[in-house]
Amino acid sequence: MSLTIVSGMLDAFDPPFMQRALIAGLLLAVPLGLIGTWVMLRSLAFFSHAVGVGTFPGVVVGLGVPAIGPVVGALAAAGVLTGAVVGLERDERVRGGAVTGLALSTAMALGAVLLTTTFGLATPVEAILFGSLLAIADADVIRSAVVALVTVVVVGLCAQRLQSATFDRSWSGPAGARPRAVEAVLLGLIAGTVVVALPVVGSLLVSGLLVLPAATARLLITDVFPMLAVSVGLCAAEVVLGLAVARELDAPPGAVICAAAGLVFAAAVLFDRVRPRGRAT
Amino acid sequence: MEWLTDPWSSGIMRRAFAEAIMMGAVTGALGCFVLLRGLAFLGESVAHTLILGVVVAFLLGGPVALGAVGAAALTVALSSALTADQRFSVDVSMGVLLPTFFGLGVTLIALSEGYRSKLEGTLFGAIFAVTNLDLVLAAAAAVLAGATLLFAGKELALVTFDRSMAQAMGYRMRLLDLLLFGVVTVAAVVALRAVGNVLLTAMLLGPALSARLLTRTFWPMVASAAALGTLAGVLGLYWSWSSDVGGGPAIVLVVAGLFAVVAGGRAGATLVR
Amino acid sequence: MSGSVAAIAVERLSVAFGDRLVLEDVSFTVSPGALVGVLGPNGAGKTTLLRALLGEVTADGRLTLAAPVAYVPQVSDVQAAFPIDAQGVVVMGLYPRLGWWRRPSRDDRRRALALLDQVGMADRARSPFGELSGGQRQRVLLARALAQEGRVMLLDEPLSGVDTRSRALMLEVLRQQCAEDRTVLMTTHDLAEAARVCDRMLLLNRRLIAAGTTQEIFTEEVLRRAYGADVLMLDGRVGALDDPHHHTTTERRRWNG
Repeated sequence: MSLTIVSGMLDAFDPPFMQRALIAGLLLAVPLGLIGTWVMLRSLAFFSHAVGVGTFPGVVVGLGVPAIGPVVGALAAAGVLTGAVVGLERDERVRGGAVTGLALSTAMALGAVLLTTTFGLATPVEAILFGSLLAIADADVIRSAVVALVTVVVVGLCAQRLQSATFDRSWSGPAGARPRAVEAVLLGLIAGTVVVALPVVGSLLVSGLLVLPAATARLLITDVFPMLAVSVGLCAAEVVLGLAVARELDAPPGAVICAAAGLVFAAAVLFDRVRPRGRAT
Repeated sequence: MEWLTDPWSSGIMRRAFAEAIMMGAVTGALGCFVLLRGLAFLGESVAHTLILGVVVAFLLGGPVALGAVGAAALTVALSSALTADQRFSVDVSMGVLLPTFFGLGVTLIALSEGYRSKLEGTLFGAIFAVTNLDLVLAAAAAVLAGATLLFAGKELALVTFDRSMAQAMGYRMRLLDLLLFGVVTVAAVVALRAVGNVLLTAMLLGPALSARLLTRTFWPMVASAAALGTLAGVLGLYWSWSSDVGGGPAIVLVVAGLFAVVAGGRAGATLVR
Repeated sequence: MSGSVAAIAVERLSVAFGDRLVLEDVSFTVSPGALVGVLGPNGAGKTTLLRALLGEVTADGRLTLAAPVAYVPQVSDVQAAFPIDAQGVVVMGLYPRLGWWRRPSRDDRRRALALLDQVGMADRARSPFGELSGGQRQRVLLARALAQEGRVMLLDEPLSGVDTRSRALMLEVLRQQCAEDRTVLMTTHDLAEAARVCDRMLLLNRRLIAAGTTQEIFTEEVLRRAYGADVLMLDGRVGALDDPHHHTTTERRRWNG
């Protein structure tokens, strides 16, 4: 029975568009896993969700104005949202992510309005929000490769700084880790990763792929450096599984991949509860 | 002056206004608690997980509202369980639950026919499709919210501001928390109809945020938030009536605009000083 | 004091947060090999002084410290749930000297183990940091500072809330550092401990109230200048009421989501 499932999955990737989706997905697993680990360890899940959702109006504008294009539009929107959140969340009275929540909701409304009134696009809204198997172009694959490479290099160089800045920020500054610079770089990489992942998973669920594989890895691994690798591996497996099932069900890939990732996480939680208590943390 | 009275001649619009007014007041007032307790991500997550409950209820042929409440309860319970683990913060547990439930919900929707329009309705609301039954439910929610604030408002405010004091005074924290979550969920289910899943957070947070900047004490804040929510609902619908803009998105953009005005006004005032 | 260069030299240091002056015109020098305690009531600016010495806050005045400087923060400042074991924390202390992109070698890990042994934590080397007790965590953070091989070591309330054994081990280590001509400066609100342990004390309350030896500082007049009304007279001896609760505010700020 398992053979039929495997061959069924392999069949799913026959057509060229699925092969592009597969390659893009595997490449994306690299930044998603690497950056996602830090998102999870630094509790940036809500922020990443806001960045993801924030790209929606940018993509709509970019699709409507060919000179801009969806990628630049998404990047610009991600930048605006990052700036707004970082700037506004400084006010003590409105902590707890309220401004972030309002900002992302507003971004959604803005995107919806732009979609219906100004641009009236051919692209259906759920492709932008949840990804689309058919809409992944060669250019998207190339961009994913570039971001994957950049992320590997940067995270490789900064891993020890990130580790100390996250574990003990007050020590890391005087010790020369340059936490502020490293945190700014991380924010940039979050935005970059989100933007290139949009064609496959869409704006509403991209944060899921940053958090879920990393959270799963956290249950299995106790040191941050191997955790980075395991996050990437889990993400890749979940993407492949999700793409195949999405094609089979004719459902948006972002939704299916996140559902798969969620089920894997649930399995890991059960495994963690059941296994002998040796290393709990 | 016709533009003011025109919309009211349409039955659809009258129902939409009624829904918007009730929803705006309820979400505005209750949103103050969400805001002050730092529950923005929880609110956002519940909003998204509701979709799974709604879909499951729909598929099983049960009442949608029950599915929604069930999903909300499940979200709160699971997030509690996850956060109990030292390894996961509240932020991360939401970051796990939201995409999982939302992903499952959207996948299930995709499996049913004509899912595209259903999806858009769930995401952005369908305030112009509001039925009289919806209005009755909204009114019930408003009454429930009002009663809660009337009879338990002081206790809820205390729990929000000074939890340790409330505990010391012998209040049943779990019960009060449950009450708050329950009422907020009811408000969320009402708002679902009006503005949809992904815009719900704006209704909970926007008016409350603006009110926070405008007032100094709690009850004026609650009243202002309710007023601002209602105002946004009405203005948004006028805008939607006179343009192509959808009802839900229009209301949310007005909420955001009001916040921008209030925040900008304050910033300007401090500069002048 | 005998013509040697000061390990720490502070001249007219002032730090303001907004329009509030937290430290005002503080000046002192510390010779190499001294064990200095910085005392003062809550809000006196002890932590701010440390942060200024570390270069983490903007300050007026002149600051000179012998490099490198090793820092031991409060245990509550650290994210205990982070995936790292005790040995990993000590290895972290080697990063500044190795270079932040170089992977530590096996020798480095062995050196970290030896340092853990110095603080009595060698048997818990592979324990996740989050599973250690407060005193054990503090010892591990001290071991990390040892790895930095600083000429100056700054510690933020290292002995508060720490079990007796950890305390004794840590003090032993600190005395050893001083014997090696390294300088140790620690903030504390435990007057009795400071009196027992430190060569010299700085009494801070926004301004430097007094600097000197135990005998010089522990007079009613001097203590009253720093602690105001919280000075007790018992059996002809003075003490000040210190507040052990100031940690609660730091603790409550965890997990803001």
